[in-house]
Amino acid sequence: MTDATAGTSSADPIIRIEAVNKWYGSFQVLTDINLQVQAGERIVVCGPSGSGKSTLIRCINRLEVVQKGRIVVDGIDLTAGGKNVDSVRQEVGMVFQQFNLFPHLTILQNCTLAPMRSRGISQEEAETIAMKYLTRVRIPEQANKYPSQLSGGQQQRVAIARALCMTPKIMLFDEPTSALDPELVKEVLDTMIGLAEDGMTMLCVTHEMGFARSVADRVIFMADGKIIEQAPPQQFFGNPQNEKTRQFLGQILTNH
Amino acid sequence: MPPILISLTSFGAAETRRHGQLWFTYLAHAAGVQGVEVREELLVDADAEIPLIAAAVRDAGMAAVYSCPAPLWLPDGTLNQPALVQALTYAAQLGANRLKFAIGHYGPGAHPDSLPALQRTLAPTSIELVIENDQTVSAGTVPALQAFFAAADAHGLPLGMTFDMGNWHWNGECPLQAAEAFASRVVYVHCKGVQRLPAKWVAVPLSESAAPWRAVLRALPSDVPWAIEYPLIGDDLLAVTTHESKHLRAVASAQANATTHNP
Repeated sequence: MTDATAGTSSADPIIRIEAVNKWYGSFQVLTDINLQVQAGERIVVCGPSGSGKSTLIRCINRLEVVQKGRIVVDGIDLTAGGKNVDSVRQEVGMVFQQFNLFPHLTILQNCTLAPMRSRGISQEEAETIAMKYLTRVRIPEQANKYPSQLSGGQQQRVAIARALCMTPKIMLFDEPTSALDPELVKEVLDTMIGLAEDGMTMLCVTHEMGFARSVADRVIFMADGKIIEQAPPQQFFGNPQNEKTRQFLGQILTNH
Repeated sequence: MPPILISLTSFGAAETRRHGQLWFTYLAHAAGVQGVEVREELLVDADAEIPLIAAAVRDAGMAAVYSCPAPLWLPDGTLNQPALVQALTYAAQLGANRLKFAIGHYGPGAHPDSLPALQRTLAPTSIELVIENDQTVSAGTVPALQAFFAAADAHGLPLGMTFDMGNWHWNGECPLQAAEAFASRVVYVHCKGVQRLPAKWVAVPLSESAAPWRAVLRALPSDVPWAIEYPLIGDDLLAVTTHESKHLRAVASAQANATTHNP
């Protein structure tokens, strides 16, 4: 199905990744990736640095293109090109390690910019939506400040609110707490837990294994551009099957 | 009553680098504290930042301490002269009256000329070098520091100490016994609560500490500066910082009153 307006039925996966391979020059960064994500599913992707996990989720809103295979998001075939990309990007919110807020815009303006430009809604409506989501991430009082006046944790919560203002069906998180001091991680994870509890489809690249344990429906471990292992958290942490997974968990759980 | 300072690492390393120590110096002043400890490891561009922080500190009538993360002794037993000289320069630019170091790798293998070299380097400056107990065995245990201070005393170099009440826990030392051992040379206190997680110690506000911090403070000189060095976190950082500084001031006041009534 390649129609940009297609959508999926409740039984279809909202994300289908089929036999995806990707190269940077001669270096293969993703190898034979197959993954299906159901609507409402919460997935944590973990793995060592350079394993391809960030590249994988960046492919889901086509920040990265793949050379081989197929990615279908909410019924839209991303690998078909054209206007499909814009359609998918309106359905998929993304939060990055660096918060990427516009420093010269207020928090409220950061949140209203995309809905006004790409959805064409009025400023008044955009501001109403923005305040709703700033309230949801518990910082409505910061609306008229600038990013430089906020802590990293607050800026990341704004980034989440900004993504939510586009009313996405899927949220992608690429190491959203990696740039934060340990003490500020919890406020961002709590916000993400709230989203998960509300049924948002989420894919999150993170090393926060406590978050994976308590929130994820499925944990995926990647190494060398491949999905090595995937399982519900109880099984993943309690009885990892692959030696590489065991090594990774041994290191990361010791360091945390 | 001890002056209350804030070690600027309290706001978190990433946060402090992101906003800059000048930003947090203004915040500390607004929160009513009397000084800041500027951290070399959190300066992004020391040559640009230090003069601005110095001006802010001076204009606010605050005190400044300069903290250098480098070890004062290198692994080969020599004095880390380059780091010391650089830090003295920055401390002077900052207008700091104290420069804080940990002894690093000082021990039985220290070079015989290293303490005299330290003495020579410090002689022309009015900045006071203060030695902190850190979280390492070589520079944060009671025996290591007792040996160092004894050797320094023997060379006619009576150095003051920054007593970090939380760091002792990282080395399995008792902070109360350490307070008794070092009280006479303590000139500056780092106030830090601690909690034990399954695999590590973490710094927390005093009010959440698992350690006997009130008893430790009572065992130390009552008139030396106290610096907050535990995480200050919250959506309203000014309110959080103000609250914590008031809390410390109240503790100091209660301690002073108790001393007055029970001399």
